Amino acid sequence: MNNTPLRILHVEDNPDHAHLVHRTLARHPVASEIRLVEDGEAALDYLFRRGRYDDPDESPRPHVILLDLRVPKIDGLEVLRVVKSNDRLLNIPIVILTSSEAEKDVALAYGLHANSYLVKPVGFDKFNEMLEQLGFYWLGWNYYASEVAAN
Amino acid sequence: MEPVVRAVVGMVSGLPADAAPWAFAGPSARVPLVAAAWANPFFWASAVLAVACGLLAVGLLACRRRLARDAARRIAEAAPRAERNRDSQFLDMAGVILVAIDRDGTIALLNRRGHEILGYDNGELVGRNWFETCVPEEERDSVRAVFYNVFAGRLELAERHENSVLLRSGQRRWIAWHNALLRDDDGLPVWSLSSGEDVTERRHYERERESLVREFESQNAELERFTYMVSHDLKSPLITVKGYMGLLRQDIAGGNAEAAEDDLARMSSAADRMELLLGELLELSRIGRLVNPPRDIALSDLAREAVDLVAGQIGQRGVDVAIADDLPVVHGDRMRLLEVFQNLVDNAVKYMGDQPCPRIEIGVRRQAGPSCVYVRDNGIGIEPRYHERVFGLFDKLDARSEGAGVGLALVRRIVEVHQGRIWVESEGTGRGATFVLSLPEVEPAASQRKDVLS
Repeated sequence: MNNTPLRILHVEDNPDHAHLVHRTLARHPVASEIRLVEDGEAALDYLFRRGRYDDPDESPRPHVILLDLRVPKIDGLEVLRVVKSNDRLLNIPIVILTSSEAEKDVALAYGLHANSYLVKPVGFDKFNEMLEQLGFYWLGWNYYASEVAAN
Repeated sequence: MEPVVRAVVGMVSGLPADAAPWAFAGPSARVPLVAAAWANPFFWASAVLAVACGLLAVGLLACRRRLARDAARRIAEAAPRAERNRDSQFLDMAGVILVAIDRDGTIALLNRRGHEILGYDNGELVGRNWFETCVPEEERDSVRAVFYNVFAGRLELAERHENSVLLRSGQRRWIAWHNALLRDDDGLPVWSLSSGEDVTERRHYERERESLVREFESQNAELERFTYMVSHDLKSPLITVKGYMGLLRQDIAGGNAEAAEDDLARMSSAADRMELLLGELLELSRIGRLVNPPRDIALSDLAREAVDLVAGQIGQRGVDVAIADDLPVVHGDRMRLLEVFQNLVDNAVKYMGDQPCPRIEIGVRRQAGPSCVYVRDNGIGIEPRYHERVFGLFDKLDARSEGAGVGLALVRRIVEVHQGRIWVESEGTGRGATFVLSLPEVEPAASQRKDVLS
């Protein structure tokens, strides 16, 4: 298993959902650091180090991106498309974490090379269980390519 | 149709169409000559008599021959007339327009039904120019160009086509034509022959059906979007409520009263949000149909009323509001259009930002076509790339701003139900925003609609 602290970029406009995810992940033994952005524009600014994220110390490269689909300004699918068509960013796994079960969204997301698609469960136990497994899988077992590997 | 067209061909070409056998059969007017009887004792007497008789007979014969010739001629003349009668009866029985036009565009033949449809007395149009008389002005040049090109052999004649004809009354009818060219012995076109069916009503219903189908399709698509949004946005607070119930249980078990308070507060606001969403959804679902009988509305009055409804927020923020007196009069559901203006003014106040001299201006842009009414503010503005998104259902540019993101979706929906359009103009952040509405205006001329079905 990985021992380096893993960094998540969490794109989520609903503060309650963000808090739920963070509180649940914090209970698990995987060391992690979560950076929250509230809309698609902020997510891209972070990843491209623009605007208020132009200082690299403020925008360290995430190991994994947790992406909600319906976020303000630039929607999640567009964020996904931009990241996956950028050489420097495309090897960051993107896990869609949304409340949408629509087949169309699932198809679109995979069509744009999402690495995983998860639906936020209704009910605390399931929510808890899913996040626990998500933590173990993405933050524990999964291996990540370094930034240069894509080139 | 075909025999009729053949009859037209025979008729207008003057060619001996397959004439009826009796038509040229002259009378058998042969008179036997009375032979002289040489053996007769009264020969000479008889001869003299015979000569006299003969002379008489010859005279009679000549006379009879002339009579017979006259009769034959009369009958011979009568034959094409009968033929003509037969043909024209055929033409007049036809329930379609039958028209022959020569290379100059002159009407060589037009049947009774054609005259009827076009609004003229039978025979009145023959000899007149088809394009000048029966083709609507706006199509005249293009139709004539096609016709001349066909006659010049540059263009293949379309066997079928549809276009409108101009009636004497100035109305138009939509006609479905079948066409053929009649050529002379050298193969050059002499006449164009057309049969045309008046399909105005059929076309009207077809168009109506098509527009209904389109409307249903767009309603279906909208319903699909709606279901998607609702399932997403109502589920979201539900996830919050059930998620925090679990955390609350943990916090109570751990004796963490402060965290428990926070959990409860989040659950409560998520429940409020669900309530808000349900209310606005209900509101949105009502808009699909106009609920109040449409009437003429002076938008200047309506705008003032809308501003009064938002007076609280306007006063609090110290916004200066100017409303033009010459806004147009439109026809529609007053309550709904009031909501439109109320929403726009409310938004303008809400997104005023830290503008030291907040100002809202409601005015009109006079231009060709329907005039545009606008609500302009000098607030925070909207970046061009978000100009469409602000009208999306549940779409908000700022996740933390109040409201469910229904307001502008509602506004657009109401405007569209009124056959209008709405869009936003803004140069970007800090540059203010102008919401522009174009609604069909009530004009005095509007009541005198041309009686055209097509």
